[in-house]
Amino acid sequence: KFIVLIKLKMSTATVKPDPGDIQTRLLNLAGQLPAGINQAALRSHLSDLPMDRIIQCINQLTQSGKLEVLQTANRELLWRLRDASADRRLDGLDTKEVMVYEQLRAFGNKGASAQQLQSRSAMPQREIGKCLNSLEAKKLVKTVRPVGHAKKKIFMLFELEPDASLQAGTFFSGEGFDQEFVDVLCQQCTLYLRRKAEAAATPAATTSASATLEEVQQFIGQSRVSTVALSLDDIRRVLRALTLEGVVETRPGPYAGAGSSCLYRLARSQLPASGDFGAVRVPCVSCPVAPDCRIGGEISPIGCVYLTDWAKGQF
Amino acid sequence: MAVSAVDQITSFLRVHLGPETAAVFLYISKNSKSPLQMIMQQFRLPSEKVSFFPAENLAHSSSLRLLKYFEKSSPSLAFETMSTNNQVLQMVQQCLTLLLTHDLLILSRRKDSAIEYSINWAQVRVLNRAPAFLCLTRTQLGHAAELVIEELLYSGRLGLLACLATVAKRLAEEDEASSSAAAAPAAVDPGLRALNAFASLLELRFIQRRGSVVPPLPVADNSGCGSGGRLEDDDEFEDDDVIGSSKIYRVEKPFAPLSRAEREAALRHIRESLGPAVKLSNESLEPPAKRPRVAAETTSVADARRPEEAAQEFSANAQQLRFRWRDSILTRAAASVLGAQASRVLAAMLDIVDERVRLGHAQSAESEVLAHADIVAQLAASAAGDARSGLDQHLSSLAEDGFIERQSGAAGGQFRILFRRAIFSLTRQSVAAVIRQRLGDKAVRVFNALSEEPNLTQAELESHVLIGGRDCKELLYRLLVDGFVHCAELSRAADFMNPRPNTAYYLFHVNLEQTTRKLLLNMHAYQDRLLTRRLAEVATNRRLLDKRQRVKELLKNLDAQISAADSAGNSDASAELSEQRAQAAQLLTPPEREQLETLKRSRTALRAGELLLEENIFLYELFLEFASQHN
Repeated sequence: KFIVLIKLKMSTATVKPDPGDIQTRLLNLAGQLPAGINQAALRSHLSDLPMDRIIQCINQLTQSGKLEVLQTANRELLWRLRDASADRRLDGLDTKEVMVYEQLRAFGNKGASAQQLQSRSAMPQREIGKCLNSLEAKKLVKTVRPVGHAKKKIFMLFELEPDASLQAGTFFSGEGFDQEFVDVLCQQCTLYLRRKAEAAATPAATTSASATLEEVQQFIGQSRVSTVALSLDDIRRVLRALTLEGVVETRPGPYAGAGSSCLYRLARSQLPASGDFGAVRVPCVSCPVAPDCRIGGEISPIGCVYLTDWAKGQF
Repeated sequence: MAVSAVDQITSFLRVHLGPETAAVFLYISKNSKSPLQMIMQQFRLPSEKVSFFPAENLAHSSSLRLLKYFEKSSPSLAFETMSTNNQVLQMVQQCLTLLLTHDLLILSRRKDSAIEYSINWAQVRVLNRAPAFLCLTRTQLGHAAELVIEELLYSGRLGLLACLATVAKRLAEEDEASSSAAAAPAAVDPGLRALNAFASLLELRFIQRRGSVVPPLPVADNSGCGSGGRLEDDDEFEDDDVIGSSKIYRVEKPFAPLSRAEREAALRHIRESLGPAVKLSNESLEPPAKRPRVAAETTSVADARRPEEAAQEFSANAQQLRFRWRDSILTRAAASVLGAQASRVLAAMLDIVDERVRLGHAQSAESEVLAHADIVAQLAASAAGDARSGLDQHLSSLAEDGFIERQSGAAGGQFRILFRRAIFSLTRQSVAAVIRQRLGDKAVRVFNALSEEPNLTQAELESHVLIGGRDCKELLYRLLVDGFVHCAELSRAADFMNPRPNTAYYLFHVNLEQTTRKLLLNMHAYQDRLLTRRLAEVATNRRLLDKRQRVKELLKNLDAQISAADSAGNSDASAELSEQRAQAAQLLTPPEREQLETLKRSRTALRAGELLLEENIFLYELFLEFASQHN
């Protein structure tokens, strides 16, 4: 009976697990669940281990930098294997800063505002502000101001490029829409098409006087007017603006190139042999004081200097 | 109707037909529909039957009132020299006859058989456009045709003989005055040139045969109206006609070509009127072979009698002039965009359409279907035979640019001219040209973007046209103020009663019809200003112009005396006269000559500007006509 009691005690006695084993098992489990280990996974995979020991080992692994802690949108904690090569920079950060950093990493290149971070983390606004200032000072996070919302601040990881919706494309610089850059692009496109038209055998020749989108893009790239590479869409937008201005015409292309299905050429009205049609040559049409002009008034056609100059052929 | 149009036509009538006619016109323009009845009502006289013929129906008392009206309106009228009311009445009725001759009046008969008079504003417009029509005729058919149209436009209706005699005389004078007259002995004589031009105009329907307007009282046949006088055949006057002066005397075949008898009579009359001083050839009077021969019985009654006794006259066909002007605008637009060859193809297609259009055919949005073979035949027949090479390419180019439409591909293809679409496109380009001139190229981008994609917000527009926010906003607002762009407000709030700028969307769009109406008014105003400036310059330099005219006449007289002295062999007199001539030529000093030269340049530029504006006005009117048909 004593022997049975001893055997029972021996079988039922809890053997204190080795902390190294628990850490190994946790690391293995984190490797199996790359998305992260939550409390439910801990209970299911490590049910034989006491929770307090597990938590202790997790803290040790977190402090040693082998695991990182995340918070989901449901405010549930997750523990994940930390990439050994990546984040040595995070070694000196405290837990809150790491949490904020990891949340910003989740937002990617769209970034997040302070309000969004607060709603995700349930941390006080002041704490989040402190963490963001600290991370910005350590150049781990940067601030981006989206186009159209100059007073709004968006935070994102330092190494990421802001999304196109934040900076609205190639034609925007730090100060907003870069009109000068767009005008230079328009001039270059017009120059290229004019050269094509002049080199064509006859102005009415459709194909030889025209260019595809790719050809225009290549010319712009070679002319080095832009420090950034312009996409086909950017070139298309510039040519569209020139078409609206009446400088360029589009024609359906006989051969559909990659990404383009029409040809662009200089508008026939831009060609030297075309005549002018209409009354726009009469100075009254563009006169700045035309609404005030009255027969017998202070401004009248009888003493008008514009008409005098125009009649003399100088207008 | 723009005020300037009435002023212009009134001054034209004052110069050509007398101040009394101008006063009658002005009165009817302000009081449309039966001025005589209105006078009677105004002065509370019993209403009576007022008929145009005969004269006795009008009460004496109403003539007295009419006399008082005209005294008040224009004291220098001849009315005040008349002693009897009957004389006043005759004068008024003669004025009405003259206005009817020019198609400026519309007659209508009321139930009580009184005749009402209204102004035919369409004809007023035609007369105001006379310089443009003359320019068009000169471009298309030559100087002689231009003179014929000028005579007919400014005389209303003229008989064949009177018209040709006047035109031949003018051509002869011009030949004499030009330095190349003596150097070109083989030039076609002016009579034949005038006759050929007249026949061409009739064939192309630029002019038409009309019945003459019979005055109420016998008038002496020295008015130059050719076939004035009482109508001999009463059955040609349909007493029940109530609308339109042209239906008083009908002509069955208004475009019947000139018969041999008419041509012979015309040449005979020209020779008699010009005299032996002008050399005239004895060329054949046979019409060209390709002109269709028309049997005598198919022409009007006039051919059965001597032409000069016929109650038949000719007038300009304003509708055909408008159609031709429209065609000229389209061909010039095609030439500027696609080249001369393509425009010749389009011109050939327009000629085919013209031949098929009948009198009174309304402005249609599209032409009839034209076969490829017809176009080839027309090109071969015209002087544009070289346009046949590459015809298919030209037709494709015209189709791409929206001038024509390919209906089917069978047998080379069938095509239709798209008048409405072409006019719409030209109008939009014209409006864009005005915007470019006033506001710059970027404003054109905004205008065209909104034309293609209406109802855009400012932010959407900025991304479409690649213009920065501030610049785009400024351009948009300037376009809005000038009426080129329109704005619609869409409230975002549930409460639509008090929309505020920050609770509403502002959607911008282009309403081309509305913009064109506004531009049309502006163009009329600009034309008025150019005309005012031109007349003011003439008035300012009137003394100098009169002096130049006197010097010219003096020199002409001295030249005649010198040539007479030379032919008489009197060398002393000739030398003395030559010296006098040299002195007379110095009467105009060099500064005065320079001033005259400047004035001439200025008047030419201003007149050219008026013509350019008139062309734009015509284009906009065509557009609005098509737009109203569509609506």
